[in-house]
Amino acid sequence: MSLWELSLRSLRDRLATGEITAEETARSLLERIEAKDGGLGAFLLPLADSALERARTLDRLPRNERGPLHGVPIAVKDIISVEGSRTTAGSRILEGYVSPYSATAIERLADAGAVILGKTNLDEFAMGSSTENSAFQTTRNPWNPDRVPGGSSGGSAAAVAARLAPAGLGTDTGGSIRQPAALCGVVGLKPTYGRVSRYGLVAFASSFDQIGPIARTAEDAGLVLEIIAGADPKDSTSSTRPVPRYSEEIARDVRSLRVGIPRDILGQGVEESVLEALDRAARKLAELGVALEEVSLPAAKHAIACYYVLVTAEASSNLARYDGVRYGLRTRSSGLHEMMSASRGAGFGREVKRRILLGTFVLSAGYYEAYYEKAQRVRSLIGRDFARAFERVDAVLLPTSPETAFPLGAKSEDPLSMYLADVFTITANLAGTPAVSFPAGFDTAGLPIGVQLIGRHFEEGTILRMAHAFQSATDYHRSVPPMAG
Amino acid sequence: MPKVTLDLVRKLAALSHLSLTDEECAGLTQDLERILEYAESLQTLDTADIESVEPTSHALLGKGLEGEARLRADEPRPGLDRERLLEGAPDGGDGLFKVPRVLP
Repeated sequence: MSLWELSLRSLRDRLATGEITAEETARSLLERIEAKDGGLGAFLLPLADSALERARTLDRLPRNERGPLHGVPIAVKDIISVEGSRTTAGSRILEGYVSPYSATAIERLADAGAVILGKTNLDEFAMGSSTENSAFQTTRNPWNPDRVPGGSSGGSAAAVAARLAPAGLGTDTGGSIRQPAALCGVVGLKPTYGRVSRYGLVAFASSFDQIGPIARTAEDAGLVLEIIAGADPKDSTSSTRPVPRYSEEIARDVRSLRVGIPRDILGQGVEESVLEALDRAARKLAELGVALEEVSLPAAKHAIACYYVLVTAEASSNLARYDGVRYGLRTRSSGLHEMMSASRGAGFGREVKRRILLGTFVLSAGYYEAYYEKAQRVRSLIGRDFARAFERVDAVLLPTSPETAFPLGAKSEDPLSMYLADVFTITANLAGTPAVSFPAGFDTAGLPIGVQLIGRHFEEGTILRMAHAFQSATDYHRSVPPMAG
Repeated sequence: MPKVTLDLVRKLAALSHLSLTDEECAGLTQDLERILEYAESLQTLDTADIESVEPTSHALLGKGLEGEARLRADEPRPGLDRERLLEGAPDGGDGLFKVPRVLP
């Protein structure tokens, strides 16, 4: 078996015993990226030289100084800062920008011994559900090159699915880790808001954004989360709660746990194969000893409207910093304001402009109460729905996406239909709860289907435990996409 | 719902310092109209019912999780190196970000 075929857990174990070296591991994956990524487009920037140099340094470390992820290669969404590397956030406005510091999540991975393989493609500023909004390249779905990989963390999800990396980091503001994970047939975990520091993450909507892992198994996602999670003095919204050993928690029994499907929000527009996979997943969990209950999320029907009012407001404010002064693109112009407007007009893509305008609208005098403040209240109602559901169950089970991977170009001219792709993922972001998507079947065209478990705040261990039990009893995650052969 | 006009879009673009072509303005007017039409569902909610609901500004506040967010002491700490940060500027040096002339 080649090294690139191994899961993060098996690589970690072999690296820890010295059976394999960090250098041969990095080399195996970098050669694979070189051979396969031309047709996939997952990586914006492979970091071959720095990865190999780092791996050789790690190999020279004495055994007792090696970290828990010693030599493990990881792909990073290009919206997370890695010191000395370009960070584009998928935007022309940051073309050529080099990060002068690393994100806290990256520092923690480095301290644990991980090797950064490269920066992966994304929708511009993480705004999108197909990775087609990248200013630089198209990423294809490894299961079918004419289909989208999902988004916005489509590069990391495609890389993990195609076995170009055992794990990747993504970010999830409205589903951007889970939806591409579902469409590419891998596991994606959005942690509780505040579980992972956002320091060094290029901000989109600060009360929603979270960094999290994409991997092949729930266990591998837990191994990454337990490294990157935890309090950070550089992010006042990061939680001081102790970080559990998720990779140990997953082994605990799932009997005594309860799960509910909120059937009231499974309205129209959900593909039949997705509903079948959901029911099959519920039956499998029941077989494993999980009790099934009825729950409802009555306010969730307003989730998409609520979400797009709030995130565009936050985005319009966050993206004010791209003004051609401190970093990134500048378009020469005579006056200061003309220069700023021209730089922003030339540097931002269509979806980003759309969201800045919408956000400016909902925050403007006369509309603030009717849109922004109202949406903030609806956000509270959705939080209450979850609190009520979590009195009865330990997790809510939903499809991750209403459909499997759609064709490239199918929604790119229709922003609203793209927004509707987030219908099942954004509730967890509105409530701030953790959620994990995992493979649960294939449609008749052979495209993967994902379902997600949404848990209580800071109970990542519980949802990972159920996802792990499910994966131990099923083989969906073992199927390899044709492109990865 | 307010009527989304070209003028409104031009005004929003000016407020957000976005230079847009006429073609972009026309397309974005249509986009915003459709999106706001969809967002009208928020207006169908019974307002009296939700006036008593506190707006959420932080995902964990109001859920018994307030302790998760905290303020640090307001004390100066070393930041990133100034010259290093200026290297990323389109026009910078001598400790300054340079911009086009503001005063005539």
